[in-house]
Amino acid sequence: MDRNTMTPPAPRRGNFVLLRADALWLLLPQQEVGAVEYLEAPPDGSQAKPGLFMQQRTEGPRQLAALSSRMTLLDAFPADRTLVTALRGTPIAWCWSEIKVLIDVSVQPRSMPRVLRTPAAPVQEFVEHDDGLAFICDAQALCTYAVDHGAMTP
Amino acid sequence: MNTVVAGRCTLSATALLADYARDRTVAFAPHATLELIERPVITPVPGAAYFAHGLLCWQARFVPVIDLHTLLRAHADTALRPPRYALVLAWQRAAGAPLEHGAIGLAAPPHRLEVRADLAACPLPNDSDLWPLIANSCLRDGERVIPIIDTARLFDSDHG
Repeated sequence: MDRNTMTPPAPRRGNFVLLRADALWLLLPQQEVGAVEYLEAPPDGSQAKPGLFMQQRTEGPRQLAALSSRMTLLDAFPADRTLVTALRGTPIAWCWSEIKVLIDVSVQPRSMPRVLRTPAAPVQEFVEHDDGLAFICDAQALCTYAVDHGAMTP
Repeated sequence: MNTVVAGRCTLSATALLADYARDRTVAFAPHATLELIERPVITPVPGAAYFAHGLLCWQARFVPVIDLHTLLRAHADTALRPPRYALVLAWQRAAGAPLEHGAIGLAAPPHRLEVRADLAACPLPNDSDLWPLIANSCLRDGERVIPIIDTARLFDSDHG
């Protein structure tokens, strides 16, 4: 039973992807995460708007974003964000420090304690992960929250 | 704590005082205070309430950590700094219900106060609208006004 809500969230089984940005771990359904690319070189620094870095490619330019541990956009591109994925329904390529794919696993969500919740929060549940936790999120909520909250210095 | 002295019963009690800001103190019932953690490792929660430090792994569970001063001021600093200490507190939704847990961030360890007969009850401070929602009562110790926090109301509410 969940100690914070007295309501036991149901376990979920399926394929998931763990994405790490700094100390932030996110757990998304695998179908929301595109193929992983390796970023050969960091973007040149030009920004479409604060926190959205332009990358020139032969296929055409695209916007890259890197998240802080609070899920906001960073205005300086961290050197360790070398893994890039698309997220379903978002127009941005997202850059991560670490990615783990979990195939056919069961996860036990825990509800966010009531005192921490806000209606606009992009995460309402989390799972235990190694010695820490990962927030359950969907791609659209991630993108909306990050873009709406602007860019910040690491 | 009840103390029996030479055949007569003298009631006395202690409270645990926590300085949540400079010259601002609250009290907790000792049975509600479980552990003081120095330099707690707290995971920030994206989009959490403005007064939230985040989640602390404590005894194989994750407990919310909040900043009482920010809650009472009803506005956030640009970014809350990690607290030096986390005081883990217990609460219950109802009598007989399982214990649940939360924590407040502190800059200094709490200290004990013997609740003497000369400590008078007094009205809650009027510097925050939230006092009646999170405090049961209030004591005056000299010039110091000390609200007594109800941990269930503190942690089982939407203060945002």
